[in-house]
Amino acid sequence: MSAAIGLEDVFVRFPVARDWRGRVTVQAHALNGVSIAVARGRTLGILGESGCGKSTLAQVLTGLLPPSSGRVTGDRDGRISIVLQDPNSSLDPRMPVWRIVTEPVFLHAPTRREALRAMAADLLECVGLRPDHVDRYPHEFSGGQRQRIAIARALSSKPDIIILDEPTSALDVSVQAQILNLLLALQAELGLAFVLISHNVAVIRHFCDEVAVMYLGQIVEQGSVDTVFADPAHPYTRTLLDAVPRIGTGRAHHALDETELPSNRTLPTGCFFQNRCPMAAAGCERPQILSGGAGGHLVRCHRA
Amino acid sequence: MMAALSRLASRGIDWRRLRHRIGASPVTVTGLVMLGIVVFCVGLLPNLLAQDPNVINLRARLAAPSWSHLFGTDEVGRDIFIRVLHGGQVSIGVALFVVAVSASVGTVIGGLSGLLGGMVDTAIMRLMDVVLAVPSLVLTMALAAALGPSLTNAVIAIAVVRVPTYVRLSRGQTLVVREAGYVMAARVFGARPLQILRLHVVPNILSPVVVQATLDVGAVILMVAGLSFIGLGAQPPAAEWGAMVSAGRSFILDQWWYSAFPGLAILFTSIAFNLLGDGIRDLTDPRQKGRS
Repeated sequence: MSAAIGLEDVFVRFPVARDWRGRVTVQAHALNGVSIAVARGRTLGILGESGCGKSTLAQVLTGLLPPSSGRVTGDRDGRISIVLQDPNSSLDPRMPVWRIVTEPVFLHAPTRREALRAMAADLLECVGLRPDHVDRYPHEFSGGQRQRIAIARALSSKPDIIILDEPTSALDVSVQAQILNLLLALQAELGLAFVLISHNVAVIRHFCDEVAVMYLGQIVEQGSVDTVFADPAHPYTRTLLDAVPRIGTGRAHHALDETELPSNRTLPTGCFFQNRCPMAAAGCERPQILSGGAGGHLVRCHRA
Repeated sequence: MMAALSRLASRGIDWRRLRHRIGASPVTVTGLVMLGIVVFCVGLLPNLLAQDPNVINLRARLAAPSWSHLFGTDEVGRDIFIRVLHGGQVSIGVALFVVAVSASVGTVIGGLSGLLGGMVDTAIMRLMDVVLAVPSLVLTMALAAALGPSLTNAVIAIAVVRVPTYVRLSRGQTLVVREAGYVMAARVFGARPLQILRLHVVPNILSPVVVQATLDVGAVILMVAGLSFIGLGAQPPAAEWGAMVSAGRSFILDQWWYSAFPGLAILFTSIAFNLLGDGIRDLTDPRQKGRS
C-alpha cells in the first residue's frame, strides 16, 4: 500500500519575539521531527494533550503552514480535506447550506447554481441529512447535524484524505458515536484515508487503525491501536491511558505529580518527558530516538 | 452590497419581531418618520409640483413666506421652497453617493488589510493614520481647493477623507472573522484571499459597516453643504442647500427665510439619518438579540 500522505522529519518553529533589528530571539518549537504516513482506506490517530502540536500538525498536513524543515510527501492538490472541531464556527452563518457544502467545488470552477444545488442535495443524503434542506442556514441545525454538513463539505471536493481535527469533542456524547460511525461508513465506501486528531483515548481506540502519541511536538510512541493500547511501552502513553476515568477505581496510580507541559520555547535537553516521568533514571539526559520493536511498534524511550 | 442585502433579506427575517423591536425604540421610529418626510419631499414632491427651481420672477424678489411662496423667494424671485426640494436631491444624492463609495472602498481595503496582515497591513494602516491625523474638514477643503471648485471635486475630496473610518472599522471586524473556522476551512479548500474576502469576510462584517454608513450620511450632508457654503462645492445657480445658505448670508438680517429654510432642511435631514443610524446600531447589537 502506498502512502496517500506523509510527513518526513518535519520541524515547525514560530518566531515569538524579535529584537530591535528584527532578528528572532525567542522561538516556539511546535513540531520537532515528526514523520508519519497514512495509506488509503486507513486511519491514523494523533493522540496528545493540548499544546502538544496536534493542531500545528493538521495545518502542515493541509498545507496551510509550510514546515520549517522536513518534507510533506504525497500529492495534496485538491485531494485533502478537513473537518474542524467546532461546527458552530466552521460553517459560515451567512451562507445557505448548499453554498457551504459546495464551496470546495465552486472556489475552483464556477458552476451553475442548479448544478451546485443538486450536488449539495446528493451530499446531504450521503451524510444522512434531508436533501431538501439545502436552502437552510446553519443556525437551523443541531450540533450533530452541523458536523454532518461539515463532513459533506469535506467530501464535495472528492478528496483522498480527510483531516479530522477533534471532530467530535464539541458534540454531545450521544451524537459522537453517530458521527464516528458515519465517518467509518464513508471510509469503507470511498476508500478515504483519515488522520484523526484527538485528545480522547476512547475515540482513537474505537476509530483508528494506527495511533501516534505526541508529546511536545514529537511522536513518543507509534503503532497499531491494538498493540499500543494493549501494551503501552512509553511511560507517557501509560500515563495517558491511566488518566482515562474508570468506574470503581480511585486515583489512577500513574497520575503525574508534575502536570505542567514544559515550555516549547526552550526545548529540554535529553528526553522531553524526563521531568514528569515516573521512570526517569540515568540515560534520560540524552536525546531519545524513536526506535522499533516488533510489528512496527515504535517507542521513544531507552527504558521501554 | 446589494447582493449581500438581498441575501440578508432571504434569510427569513422574522418581520413581526423586527417590527416589534423597532416599535419599542422611539429613536428608530422618529428617525424613520423623519426620513420618510425627507424622502417624500425630496424624492416625490419636485416631480409632483413640476416647477423649475431656476425660474426667475423679478417682480417677486425677496418676498416673505406666503401661501404662494411657502418659504419666500430669493433676490431674483426664485421660489425658495421649490429650490429647497430640488437642492435636497443634490445634497442627499451626493451624500448617499459619497457614503456608498467610501464605505465600499474602505470595506474592501480594510478587509484585505486585516486578512493579509503583515507588511501590507502595516503599510495600509499607517497611511490611514496619516489621513486621520489631519482634521477631516481641513483636509477636505485642501483637497477640494487643490482639485478646483466643483461639485464633482467636492465629492471626490469628501469620499477620500471618509475612507479611513471604514478601513479601520472593517479591519477590526475582519481580524475577528479571520479566526473563524469557516475561514480556515476555506483556506484548506484553496480559497484565495479575494475569494475569502468576498464570500466570508464582507457578508459577516456588513452590519457594523451599514450602521456607520447610515450615521455618516448626516455628517456628509453637512460636509457637502459646508464645502458649497465656502464656494468649493456646488456652483451657482445650482440649487444646493449649502450654496443657498451661503447666498442668503448677505440678506440674513432682513430676509431671514432665505438662509433659514435651507439650513433647517440640512438640520432635519442630518438628524433623521443620525437617529436611524443609532436605531440600526441598537437593533444589530448582538447583546440585544435575546431581548424581544
